[in-house]
Amino acid sequence: MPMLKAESIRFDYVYEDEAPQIVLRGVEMEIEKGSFVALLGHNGCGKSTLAKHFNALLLPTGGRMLVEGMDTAHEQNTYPIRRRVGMVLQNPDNQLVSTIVEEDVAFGPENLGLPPAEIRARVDEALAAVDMTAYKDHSPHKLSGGQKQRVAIAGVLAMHPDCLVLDEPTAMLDPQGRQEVLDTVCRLNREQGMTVVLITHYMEEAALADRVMVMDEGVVVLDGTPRQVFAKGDRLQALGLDVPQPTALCAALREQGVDLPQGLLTPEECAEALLKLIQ
Amino acid sequence: MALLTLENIVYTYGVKSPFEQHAVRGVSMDIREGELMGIIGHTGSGKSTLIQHLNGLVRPQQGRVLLEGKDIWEDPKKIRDVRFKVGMVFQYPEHQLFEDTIYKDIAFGPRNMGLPEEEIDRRVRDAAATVGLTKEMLDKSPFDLSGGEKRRAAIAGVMAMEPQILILDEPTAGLDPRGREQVLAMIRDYQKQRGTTVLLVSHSMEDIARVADRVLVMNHGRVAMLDTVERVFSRAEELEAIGLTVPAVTKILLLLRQKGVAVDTAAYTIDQAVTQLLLLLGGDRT
Repeated sequence: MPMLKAESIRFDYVYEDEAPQIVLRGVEMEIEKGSFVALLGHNGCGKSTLAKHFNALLLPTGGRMLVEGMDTAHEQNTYPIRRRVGMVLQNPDNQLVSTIVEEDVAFGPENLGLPPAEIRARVDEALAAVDMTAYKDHSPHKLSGGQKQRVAIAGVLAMHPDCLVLDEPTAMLDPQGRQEVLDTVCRLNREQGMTVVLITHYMEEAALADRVMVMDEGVVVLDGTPRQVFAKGDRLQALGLDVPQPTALCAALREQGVDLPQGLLTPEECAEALLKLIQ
Repeated sequence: MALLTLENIVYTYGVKSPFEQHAVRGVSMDIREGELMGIIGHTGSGKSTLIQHLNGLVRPQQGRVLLEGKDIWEDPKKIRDVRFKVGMVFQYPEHQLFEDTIYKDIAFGPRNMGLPEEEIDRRVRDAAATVGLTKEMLDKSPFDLSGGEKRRAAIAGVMAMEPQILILDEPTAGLDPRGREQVLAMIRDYQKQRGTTVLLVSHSMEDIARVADRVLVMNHGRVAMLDTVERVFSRAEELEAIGLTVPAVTKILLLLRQKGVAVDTAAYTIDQAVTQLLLLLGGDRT
């Protein structure tokens, strides 16, 4: 059974005295357990709206959203779904509720009504998973952006979810903070088998995923491995997106007749391929 | 003469408290008339504190800030005039939109300057055109605009004050690739057309490489580098050593050089890297 399954999801924002705004126009997708999916698309393409369907924050106006087979439209499924799918948002300051890091992480499990020993164990484990144990007694507002975002991720992990949905978690961070958050996400996926859906505007981040989906006008228009998707440079540009710089460099060199393979994504891969040609 | 000169600026937060933190430790530099300067440095390098000195939001504890040769703190009562001359666009400026129409929001700055109504109107229309907002959009509520449009409207509000120096702190943060492209192109056009001095703070080396004339690299409250884009990026190894990421194409050339390939690593755009690499790969292909 897939972790997430969208069956022709439609979603309209309805206003009082204006025509409804159609955001999702029949999204079809299946995300397998343990996969790492990057979701791309320009602003307004519907990707955040779709993400809010993954844990029943929004319910489809048409079609069905299934989380481990549970239909989000049935109210009795809401809580089980929200325990399975945790959400991390763009601005870390909007997600932290407590004045001490470990209390913040404990907020979720406390609300599950777990025994204190279990809460303690989950908080320690979650902080260790994001490498923030040393800061457990600190005040979140004095942490850096990357550290705050990792505490927010720990807060979600303490709920023991099966799937982590991150909506532009690095948009407000500096390069170092971005790297910290990405390393954490990649580790959770590889070592703990956590299903990850990462929404991002950074193509280099999407290149880390094992699958890239691109949305436009409320539907999924491209779906494949990063290599397959980023090989379609012209199509991506038409959709208002980019390709990672190394991929663009290789494409420009190929146009000049240089015999480079398609779909090189990282500076390391690109340098290695060039080295072979030079020698 | 330099438009703006910093003389040995020192600023420490929480002096004589356990939280004492040296943000700026003696910075001297010139900002030239009409240049577009990129400012980079990791979080905590002192770049934000430094730019807050340039329009008097922060008063230096030591040293002087000279605008056209005159100390901006000579008469502290007149610091407001400095803020009209040195315009600051903060991070996520769209959070500061507050009027019920875009027109009124852009007009807020010029109105505070006490300008006559027709001059305000001219400036609002000019600034809106510069950032690519249509006449119809001016009557809309800020809430009806997309994220990128809101960002551009907020920048227009500062441009409408027609400052001599425009400072933008992370103007492309959080935008999608097309939005980033539009904002950068707009800043470059504005600077070219009006000859206004522009300072652009960014974490994105790619952005700075694309638009800046000179780059200031801050590290530990000091000026680590201040030079042309070419010369700064040719020191890619040093940039990496102080925790900054170089553009990916520069990184590729650096990796090649580390493997013993004799290549000039000063390229920082795709076109430049293609030229460099074609030289290495032999001329028969060109």
